[in-house]
Amino acid sequence: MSLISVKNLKKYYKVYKKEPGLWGSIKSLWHREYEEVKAVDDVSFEIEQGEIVGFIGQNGAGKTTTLKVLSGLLFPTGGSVSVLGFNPWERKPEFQKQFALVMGQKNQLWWDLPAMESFLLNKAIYEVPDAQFKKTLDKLVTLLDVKDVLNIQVRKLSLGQRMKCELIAALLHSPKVLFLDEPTIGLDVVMQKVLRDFIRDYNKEFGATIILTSHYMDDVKELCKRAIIIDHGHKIFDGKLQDIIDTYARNKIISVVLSEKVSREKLEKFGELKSYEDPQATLLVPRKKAAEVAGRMIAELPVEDVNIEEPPIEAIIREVFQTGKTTG
Amino acid sequence: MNLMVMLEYRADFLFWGFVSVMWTAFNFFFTGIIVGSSGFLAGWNTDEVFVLLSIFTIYDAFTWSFFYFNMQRYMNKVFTGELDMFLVKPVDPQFMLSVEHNSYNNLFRLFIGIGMLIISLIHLNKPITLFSFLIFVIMFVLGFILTYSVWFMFATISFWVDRLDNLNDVMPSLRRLSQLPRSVYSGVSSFLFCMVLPVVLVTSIPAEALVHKISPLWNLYYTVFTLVIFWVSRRFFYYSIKKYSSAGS
Repeated sequence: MSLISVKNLKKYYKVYKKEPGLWGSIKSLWHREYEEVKAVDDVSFEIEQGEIVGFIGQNGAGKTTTLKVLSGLLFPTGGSVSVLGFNPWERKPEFQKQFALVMGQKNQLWWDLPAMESFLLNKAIYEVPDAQFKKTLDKLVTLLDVKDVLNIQVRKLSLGQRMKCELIAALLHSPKVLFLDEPTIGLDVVMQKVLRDFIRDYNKEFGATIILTSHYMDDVKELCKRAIIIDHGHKIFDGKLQDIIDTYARNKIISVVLSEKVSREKLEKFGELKSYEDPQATLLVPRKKAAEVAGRMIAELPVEDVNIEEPPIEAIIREVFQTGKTTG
Repeated sequence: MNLMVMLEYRADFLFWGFVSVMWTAFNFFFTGIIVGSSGFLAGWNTDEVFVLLSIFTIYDAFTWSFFYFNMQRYMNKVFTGELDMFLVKPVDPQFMLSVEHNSYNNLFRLFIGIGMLIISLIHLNKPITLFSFLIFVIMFVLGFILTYSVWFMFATISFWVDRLDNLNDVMPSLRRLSQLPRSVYSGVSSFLFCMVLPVVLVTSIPAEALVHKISPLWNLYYTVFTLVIFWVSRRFFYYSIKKYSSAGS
């Protein structure tokens, strides 16, 4: 049986639609129109132990809602969910001691006290033995290099330092399952890299199962072999990250360096001309014809160098959302 | 933890102390004026009323310390989605919500209340048996449980409505009714505040144990009512939590 199993998960909300302006506010006192929002609609997937899975989706796609259902925060409208063999909604302490939820935009640390106090509180809540607490804390503090800030009020820490302390607070009980919701949001590129490396190391060392949502494709590309794409509450892709390219990329990019100037019209005969600054031109051509088109270009144009490559994954995913493609 | 937070801001702590002392002193002063002219209030003499008022002061200091801010924060957490962090931890969320933020700003009032209770009892000069003291302690604790349960139910309504800012002020408004003995109330007000929502009893019943006015039937009713309402408040919380929608990230 999979470590995480989600079958036909549904989470619907009723939201009230207010007409704009003062009159709309007054009218809303006696009459309100409600609309059902399907935040997650019939989503199913299985995750095995030790996997790092990236949840990809636009804002409001249902990623965070899914994580919250998996954490037992939200009561599902329909379907069944099992995490570590538990029904998350029952919120049994034996289950809660084995997972952690880290939300980049919410903090669990006490704002007015040093992070160390929150660590000690978590130690008590999760009933972490003294020796294990010390060992884990030392390790995490060294890995994330925050020894000097543990005794400073949290509100005086930088966003990066705070996020590192949030991670430590969440990992002190050595969870087997980790739900990371935008853990790198707002961080600079250096700090993003530090956190990514840390998450990878944690996964390797503890064999932890991790679900990660992020708007930064670099997070997903560097950490996850598998991705689940969610759009408007529906799962539209579940598979290897590389397969997204094979499934959705319609074109390949051909870049050529020319030894002589060629007219734009002539280049446009070979494909969609994306850019042309003599002597370099970039074209989009249908994937299946890429090799043949490149061959023709070499034969018919004064080509000095040619390169065929896949479009960046960000561009493919953007296209997926724009076209609204779905797959089983 | 809260004590540590509070001591970080000691000027705020001391000023709170000053305000609390003044507020309590005025309360005793005005009650003294009301009772003082006749010497009796609905069958209670001045010392007996002061015993009740002392119990009210202790009770009030406790409720402000332990309930007001926690309930306010509880409702805010439901509204803002901060409840998330309470629901993922392996500890009873109702317990966490109820003890998360204790304010010690009313410590001064607590000491004044205890001091006034001792002085009033000495002045009253009625012997206190171990039995009456035990009844007092049990009934006093039940008063907290009752207040807590009803207040918690009001706060739990926040799962069902988008926002009700004044919800947290319902119980503080009602608590003023318990500054006077229950015999002051009659007719509809007695039925409402001694039977339906017995906020008046939270001070009257423990005070009656100390001033030799104990009524077994009322004690029994009060005990059963409190335990039932505590159970109901827990059931209501776990039922309402299904309505929790968190907040967008």
